[in-house]
Amino acid sequence: MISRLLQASDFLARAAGMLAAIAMALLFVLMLSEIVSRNLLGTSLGFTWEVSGYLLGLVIFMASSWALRNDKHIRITLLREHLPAAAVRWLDLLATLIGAAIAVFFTAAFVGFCLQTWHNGTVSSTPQQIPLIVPRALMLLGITIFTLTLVVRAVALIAAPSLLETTPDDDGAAASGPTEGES
Amino acid sequence: ATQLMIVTPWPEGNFQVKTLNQFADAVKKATDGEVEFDIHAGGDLGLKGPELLSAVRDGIVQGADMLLTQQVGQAPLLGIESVPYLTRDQDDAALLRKLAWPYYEKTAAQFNQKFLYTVPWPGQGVFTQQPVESVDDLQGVKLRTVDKNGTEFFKALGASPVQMPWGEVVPALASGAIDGVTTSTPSGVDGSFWEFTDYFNKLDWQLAPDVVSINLDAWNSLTDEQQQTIESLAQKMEPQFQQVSQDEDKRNAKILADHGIHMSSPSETLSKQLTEAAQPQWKQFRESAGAEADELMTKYLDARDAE
Amino acid sequence: MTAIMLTAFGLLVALLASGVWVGLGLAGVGILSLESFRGFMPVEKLLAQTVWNSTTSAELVALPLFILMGELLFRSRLTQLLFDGLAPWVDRIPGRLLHTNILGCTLFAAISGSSAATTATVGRITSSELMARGYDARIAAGSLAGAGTLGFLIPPSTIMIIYGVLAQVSILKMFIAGIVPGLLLALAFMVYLGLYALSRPGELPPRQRGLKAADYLRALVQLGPVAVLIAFVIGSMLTGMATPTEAGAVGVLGALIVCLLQRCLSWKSLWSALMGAAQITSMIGLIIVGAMFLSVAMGFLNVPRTIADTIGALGLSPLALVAMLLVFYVVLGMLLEGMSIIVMTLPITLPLITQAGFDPIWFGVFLVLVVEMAQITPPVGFNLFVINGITGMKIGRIARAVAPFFLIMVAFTLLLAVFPQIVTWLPDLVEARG
Ligand code: NA
Ligand code: NA
Repeated sequence: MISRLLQASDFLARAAGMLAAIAMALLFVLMLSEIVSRNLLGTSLGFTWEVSGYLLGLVIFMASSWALRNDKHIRITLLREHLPAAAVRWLDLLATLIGAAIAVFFTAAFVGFCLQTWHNGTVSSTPQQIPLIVPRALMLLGITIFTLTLVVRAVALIAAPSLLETTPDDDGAAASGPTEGES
Repeated sequence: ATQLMIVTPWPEGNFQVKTLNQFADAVKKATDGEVEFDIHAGGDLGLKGPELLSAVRDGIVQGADMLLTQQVGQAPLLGIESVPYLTRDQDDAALLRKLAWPYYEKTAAQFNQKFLYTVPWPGQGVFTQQPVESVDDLQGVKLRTVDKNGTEFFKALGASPVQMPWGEVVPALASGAIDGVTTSTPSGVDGSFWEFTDYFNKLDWQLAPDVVSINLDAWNSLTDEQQQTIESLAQKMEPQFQQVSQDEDKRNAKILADHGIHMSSPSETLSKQLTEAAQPQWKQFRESAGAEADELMTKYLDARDAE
Repeated sequence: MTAIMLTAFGLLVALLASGVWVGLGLAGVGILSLESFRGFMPVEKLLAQTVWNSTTSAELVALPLFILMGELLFRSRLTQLLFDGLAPWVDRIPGRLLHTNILGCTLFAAISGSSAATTATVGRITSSELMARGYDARIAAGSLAGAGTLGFLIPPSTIMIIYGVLAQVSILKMFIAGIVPGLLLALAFMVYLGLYALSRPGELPPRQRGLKAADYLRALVQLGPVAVLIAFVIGSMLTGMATPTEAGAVGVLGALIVCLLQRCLSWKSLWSALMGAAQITSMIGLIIVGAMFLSVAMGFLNVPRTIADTIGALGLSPLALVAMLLVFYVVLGMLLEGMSIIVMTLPITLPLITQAGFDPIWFGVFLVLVVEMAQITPPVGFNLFVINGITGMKIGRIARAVAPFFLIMVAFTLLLAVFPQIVTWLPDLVEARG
């Protein structure tokens, strides 16, 4: 049961991570196109800076769950190193619950933000006048998956902590399946 | 005493912040210290500009000194003063300001706030390496622009508008990634543009007004007497502040000239060409900014041409 | 005010010590402080707006690009060539191949914007090789951790980009200002290594015998690709082809070409570089979000203003102020990550330091140095973590090994305070020429 839940959560996290990787590639292509266009064609594409900013926001939040699963997010381990193994598990659970609570607050805040953007039909004040609901809703998706990953992590810590002992896969990971630690 | 938190993206020392401080002092004095503005300049509260209208509406802060041009994503009518070459000189600008104010007040109320007064930035011109005497001189010039109006206006004039964050502008000018910048004289001085450009044509193609706005809930928590005091102070000080803006323009123009920048204004021919190039955007503004904006524009053009 | 500061500090220590992810923890402290002391305001709206503003800022776009460049180079053989090329040239210098750490990091720093990337990439090659050739593991690790920090000081530099944005100074000028101090610091490290070697005759492995002119020539050829890549990125900025942020994209392009030419570019490695870069960007981004919101929250509670007033009221002389800030930052840097230290404290310290007559550019370099120290001080030091990951050496052992380099950096920072011209003369010179 828990194993299934973790599997599903890992699937979501990895899918979001792949979206982030695509956003990263787009960001590079966009910046490069601007350089090429300005230097060879003499015209600026105009939208590159604005869209690059949105892509950066997307990368940060879309990759956050997969980074969490792979232990890439920084946390301070000083206290853990000086505690017995049993206590470490409870401390980790406490930290995960606090983290999840903060993430829930993030999600709620961003839901309100997106609703207001949608309601007002806010567009950017740049020449592109991009409807801001698009990048904001995508970021909300990333934040939501991140929050879910934290919640699932808390559940797994309570019910089956051994499942978390291995991380799904390190950087890359695309070629093989996401996890070794599930079976 | 009531403390109102007022934010502005401009750094301490900027004339907009100086006048805001003067206003705060006057309010404090006139209300016997009962109403205090807690001014946060330089964006130290993380608010950058385009979100200030909603930040004041939501009560994140009680007030703001904001650039109207940046609020058009939420309230297109507020962009009328930035429609290219709608005002050709100071008289036009004063007329538009006067006619637009009631419309602004209405928009402000829709966003749960009250505009106290407005202070325009000095008019926008172009810093370039070659003199700009006719439209031909703008052909293919890689010019850094900020908003939709500027981008389309200069595209219509044959230039090649480039967008980039302000932080990149100076290195880009230095290395030749761009040829020129459209901005006002104080920004030209801030960026030491004489190091990279030789000419400033003060086209005055666009106005960028700041307003000082107060959240209505905060406003309504003041006594009638305090409200009247603040309103009459705003009315009294607004012309002084607008004069400060003009003085600031002259002072900075002199600094630029002293550093060897050739200053000029558009000739009559160029002025005609500018008006012509701006027509599509006048039309677009009428069509996209709502019925009231259209009405305001007609009112202004009628009044201007009647003079 | 004391209540606010004690609450915030207590929460910060409690959340971080319990192991909450740093970015979330910082944001959490901001949320709780505002809810407790400014409960009437819509905290969630401020949070959403701050998250949006800080993560979509065009000024930060260089960060993911340079990270991606590092990820690509990490998968190429470029760094391998770099060390083979350097080996013959350092053979006559006391300390010999130990200098490859310093030289390699100095060169790699010129194309990578981050210390961790520099340490990881250079360390992957040197640490095994140095130990295989009989050099002491401690001095190898110490010099690597120390020199790795040059990644931030020698341009391009993500820290400098963030500082430039926050302090509203030209990023290009910051980059130029980092060159001289970066090279001088590298030189100081090399002098120390030389003295270390001279004081331990016989402990170092013997010289390479019989190096011929051809070996030097071949070494030069091997250094070629690195030189071309560096020239490519720097040249794109100087010729006006690219702005400093866009240079990140040029760097990625250069790295792609290197990988193509070396035939180590497959779809799989490209994809894994993208996935890796996205995760590192996310890691740093989350910390930036948290740090940004915490500092905004402190701003709303008027904390920075109060501290600034308190320190300002002390009326310290400029040098005393710098010394005090150095202590302040070193203590902070033991616990916190460097980037968030800058974001959180800049609104307090920048006005103080400029009032004391220091140039904002100078202060940027000062901050880069203290952030570099934060990279190598336990318990939280990125470079220590990285080397721990590469070599498996205990964090405490690495920290002791890097201590001399830390002291050199402290002394160097004080030197810059006494002679600020070391920092400012090159940017001023460039500016004067237009
Ligand atoms: Na660097
Ligand atoms: Na540290």
